[in-house]
Formats: sequence, C-alpha cells, structure tokens
Amino acid sequence: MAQPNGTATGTTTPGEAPSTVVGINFGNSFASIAENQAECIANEDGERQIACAVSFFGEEVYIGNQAKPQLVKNAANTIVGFRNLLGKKFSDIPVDQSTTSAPVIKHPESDLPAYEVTVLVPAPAPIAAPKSSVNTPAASIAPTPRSEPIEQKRILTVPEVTTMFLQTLLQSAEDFLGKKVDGAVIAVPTWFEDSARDALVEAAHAAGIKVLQLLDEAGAASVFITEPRPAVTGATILESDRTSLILDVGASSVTLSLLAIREGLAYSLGSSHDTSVGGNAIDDRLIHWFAKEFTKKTKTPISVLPSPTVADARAEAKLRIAVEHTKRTLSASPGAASCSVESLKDGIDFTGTINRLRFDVEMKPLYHKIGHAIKAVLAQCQVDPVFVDEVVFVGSTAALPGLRDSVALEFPETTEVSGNGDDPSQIIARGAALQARLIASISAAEDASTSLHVAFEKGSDLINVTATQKPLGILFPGPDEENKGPWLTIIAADTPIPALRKVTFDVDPSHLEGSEKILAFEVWEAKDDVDVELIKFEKVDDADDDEEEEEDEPAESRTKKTTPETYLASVSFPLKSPTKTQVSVEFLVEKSGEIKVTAAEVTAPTELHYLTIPST
Amino acid sequence: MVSVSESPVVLPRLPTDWKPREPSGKSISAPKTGKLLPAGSAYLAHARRTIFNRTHHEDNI
Ligand SMILES: Nc1ncnc2c1ncn2[C@@H]1O[C@H](COP(=O)(O)OP(=O)(O)OP(=O)(O)O)[C@@H](O)[C@H]1O
Ligand SMILES: [Mg+2]
Repeated sequence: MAQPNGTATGTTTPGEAPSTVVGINFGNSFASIAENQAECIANEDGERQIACAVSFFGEEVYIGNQAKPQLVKNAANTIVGFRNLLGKKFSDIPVDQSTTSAPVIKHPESDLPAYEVTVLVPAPAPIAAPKSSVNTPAASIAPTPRSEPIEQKRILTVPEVTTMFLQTLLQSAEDFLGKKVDGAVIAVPTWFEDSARDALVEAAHAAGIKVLQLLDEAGAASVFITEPRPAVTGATILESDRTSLILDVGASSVTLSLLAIREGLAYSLGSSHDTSVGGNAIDDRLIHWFAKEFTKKTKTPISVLPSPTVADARAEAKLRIAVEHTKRTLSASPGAASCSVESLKDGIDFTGTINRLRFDVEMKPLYHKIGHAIKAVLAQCQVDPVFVDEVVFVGSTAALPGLRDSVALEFPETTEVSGNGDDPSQIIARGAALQARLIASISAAEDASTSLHVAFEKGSDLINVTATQKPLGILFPGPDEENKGPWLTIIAADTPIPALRKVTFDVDPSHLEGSEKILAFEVWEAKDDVDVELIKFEKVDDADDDEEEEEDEPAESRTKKTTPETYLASVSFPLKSPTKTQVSVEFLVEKSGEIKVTAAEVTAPTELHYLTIPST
Repeated sequence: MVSVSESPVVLPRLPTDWKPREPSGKSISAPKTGKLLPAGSAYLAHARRTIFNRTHHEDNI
C-alpha cells in the first residue's frame, strides 16, 4: 500500500500488502495491541493493558505498568497523560502545576508541551570513548565501573514520549509474535484534532510503525461488532440492521456513539463526549472512601483531593495505585475487594475492603451521570431507547457490573445489554486489528489502479452519504382498511443509499377463495413509533408493604412499532402455486430516492413483477 | 446483501371484486445526508462500488 507518510521499516515496498498487521488501542491511560482476531497480545509480564506511563529513575527507564509505582516516590520524573496532549501547543493547554507526576512545561525552543526529567548518565570513560546516547538509557549501563554517573536534565516533548512508549508496545508485540510488524491501525478518540492525528502518525513513524489508518475508537468498536467472528457461546445473534450504542467508559472520559448499523455499514447518528466521569472519577471516590476508613481505624488524619502536605500527597498517590487493583477485583468476582497499602501514612499500614453493594452506592452519582449522558445523546439524535437494539460496552471501566446494571435500567428488556461476553478492555484493539487486516487485504494492483486506500484517509469524501429518513416496506391488503395484512420492513430508516435489500418469505394462499390465488402488496413509507402501554400492578393484599403499594405508579411498557404512513404504489400477480410457496421481494433505493421494486415467486424466478416509484 | 425473513406471511382474504390500488404518485421523504465510519468490510465494499462506479447488483454477481 502506498502510504503518504512512507515507512522507516523498509520491509514492504509501496503497493505490497503487509503480512503481519496489528491494531493498537492507544488510550490516554492504557494501551493494548492485538493481532487479527486474536485476543490482545500480552507483554513479557503477561499484561494486556499497558499503562501509558514513562518513568526515569537514575539510569533506568520504566515504560508501562512498571512506571506506575514510580508515581509515589519519583513523581517528578514520571510522565503520564501524554496522549491527550498530542498535537497541542503549550500555550493552548491549561497551566499544569502537577505534583503527582512530571508537570507539563514549555519546550525551551518551541511552543510544544514537554516534560523535564532528571536522569543519570554514565560519566564519560577516562579515555575518550563513544558517548552513549541518552536516548537509550537502558542500553547504556557501563560494563566496568567508572566514575559516578552524572545527573542531567533531559527535556522530552510529548511526541518524543509517545514514540518511546509506542516503541515498547511494538517491541513486546513483535517479541510475542516472533516476527516484524508491517503495519498498524491505531484507534484515536473522535475528538482528536488534525494536529493531534498528524503528531501521532509522526510519532508512530519514528517508532517504526507504519500507520495503515487512524481509526476512530467508535469505528474500531463497530468493526468488532460487524465483522464475522467465531461466535461466543451463548451470545445473542443480532440483526444485521440494528441501532447500536457504543458506550466507552475509559479513565478520563465517557464517549457515546449512536450508530445505525446497516448490513455492516456504520452510519453515525450522533455522539457525545463527557470528561467529568470515568475511571479517574471512580478512583477519586474510592480514595476518599478508603482514606476515611483509614482515619476511622487508626485515628490518623489524612487529607486527600486536595492533599495539603507531602505525606498526604504521597498517601493519595499510594491509594490511587492500590484502588486500581480494588476495581479489577470488583469487576472480576462478586465478593468484597480489598485495598492494601503499606505505610499509608505515618508508617501505618492499611487494609480495607469494599463490597459490590457499597461500591455501587458510592458510585451512584457517577452512574447517574452516565445515565444522563445516555439520555442526552438519545434526545439529541431523537431516538427513543426502545429503538436501541444493543449497547456495546467498551473501555476498561465498562467492566464494572454495577455500572452495566445501571446502564441497563435506561433501556427496555428488548435491548441487548449483556455485552455478549466480550471483554470491553479489548474491543478497540481487536476491532483495529480486524480493520488492519482488511486494509492489508487490498491488493497492490487494485490499489495502484484506483488508490482505494484514500477511502481510509482522514477527510475521505467516501464517508459522505445520503440515507433514507424513514422505513420502507410492504403491507398486504385485506378485505377493508381495518383488516390489512402484516407489515414487513424491507429497508430500515437511516439506511445509506443506494441500498439493495431482498426479503424472501413463505406465503400460503390455499385458504384464499377463487380459482386465482393473487399475491398483492402495497409499498409504503412508514414511521417508527413507540407504543406506550400503562401496566397497572395488581394490588396484593399483603399487609406488610402497604405504604409502598400506594406509591406504586403504573409502569409503562414501551415497545417499538412501525406504522405505515405514506402509501406509494401496489404490486399484484397471480401465484403459480395454489399451496404454500415462497415469494421474494427486492427493493433497490437509488441515491435520488427512486425505488425499484421487484417481486417474484421463488419457483418462477424469471417471471419478475416490477414497479418503479420515482423520486420527487 | 440478502436477508431472508423467516416468518411465514398469512395472506388476508381479498374480496372477489378486489382491484389493485392505483399508485399514489407520491415519493419517499427526501433522503438526508450523513456520515459513515470508514470501518469494516461493508465500508470497503461501498468504497469499491463508488470508485468503480459499480451497482449493488454488479457487486453480487
Ligand atoms: N477490570 C476493571 N474494572 C474496572 N475498572 C477498570 C478495570 N480495568 C481497568 N479499569 C480502569 O479503567 C480505566 C482505563 O480504561 P481505558 O483503558 O478504557 O481508558 P483509556 O482509553 O486509556 O482512557 P480514556 O478513554 O479516558 O482516554 C482506568 O481508570 C482503570 O483503572
Ligand atoms: Mg479510551
């Protein structure tokens, strides 16, 4: 594939399909990498979720989950949260006076956000030897004792940190796969500006990664749910035309994307992004909770968020690392989860526990915020919850069962909210990997003659489409207006056009009068509606709960219904078979809005019955 | 591209003097514009159709 940004690896020539491609989920706090349909690749420590953290400690550099503990004693040299700063100018970001990690500073020679860390570099050898590069401190450990290493300041820009991090990610994937990675699809948040995208491609390139596409995270999730893959046992098979809400609950934010999935095409109905809730906000509440527990148990005061003293700040940092484990335990098993910190404050150790019930009570305000965000995005798209066929849980925080339960309350029982057994923390990486394989499948010859790859570039005009406003389908006529036959939707609302759909169904005309068995149907445009039914609960004469019963409001049962609205035209023809037979009806909606309807008895496929409904 | 509806259709009885209804002369609501996510094999197929100026029917051959 010809790539505008070229490639440093040199293993593939332009126009040659890469053989080993991966998908990368590069979050602000965690990253993961996947190949094909495989689960995420584990690094050498067996971890699949790699913390986006880089820490400098003397001559060592820690990257990933090993860098996180450095936030306690070595915060000033530990860099986190760099992804969200890609492509930004220092002057555009709020002043960072962080004491919990390396603060963002202005690069001395540019307006780039950067970090200043203190590193130890080996003293030069007594006799002039080639100077070891400060860029690879791990490799620079001198084999023979020399004079004391020298303390040095080192300034790293956000893209430089990104490159270091991505290099590590790539390295552990290549170690696992035992081969070089030829290309990657990297998932990015929808709100990433062009400058952020450019900076990421450049940083990835510097890390030796050929970027096949920067794909929106919601896009990666949509590939994951639409591409055929081995069925998970017990998973519900959903219609190929459905409305899916992608709910991504990460660390720093919640992102919602409402998609009309139409035969695999993902048509965007709307999206939202809320930075006031996510895993970090959950951490804050847990830290408060355990800090209070600590004070209760030990009578040692502790102030967190904000933490006024160095000891408090350190305690908070320790708790922040510890609650990560607490949350994972809560997601994984129904029992209580513990939080243990050695020497939390004044040398006193702490172990506390929280059970799911208590946890959910503490998190309720956050769950409410997510519920509110769901309501808001649905209102903005003018889609009633009954029309949401599935909620796709994405992002590691979405693993929390209490959060899922509270999301489920926003939807009727007909909405699939089980997550179908998929691990939400892996969906973006796995979807990106599927997408990478797809792009890699474009043959060199085809790409050379058509530049098909432009379809996957930012700003491609191919994403701009027209779509139907309302459902289209057929209604079987009856003896009178009140007794019409069943309605079949052929083309759902929000279907990108041109669209072709064929429906085949069984009909049994044997009970019909007359010698000629006629199949007739009317073509209608319909509207999606909600049927609201009030359900009154029968009063149970159980003395105990009298008070509650009186407060019982009649419950609403909401179901979707499609009501024919505009009659367009009719098709009728005599059926060849006097008994049970099959009929197929095909709708082709042209880009103009013209519809071509074709119907035939399956046993007589050449005898077609046509109808054209012109557009306005 | 082909979906098969599995529910059998019970045809309502038509009166003996039944005549097919005349077309109303109306059209569907004007299509709206929107965006696709550039993702998945259906999108690749859409890109191919658009670039090669190919119809769905030609796609299915
Ligand atoms: N099993 C789990 N249960 C609950 N929370 C978890 C679990 N695993 C990780 N988390 C939390 O999920 C968050 C990370 O989620 P994710 O990797 O989706 O975020 P991200 O994409 O890096 O961040 P963002 O989307 O906010 O930029 C962290 O707050 C982490 O503590
Ligand atoms: Mg995320």
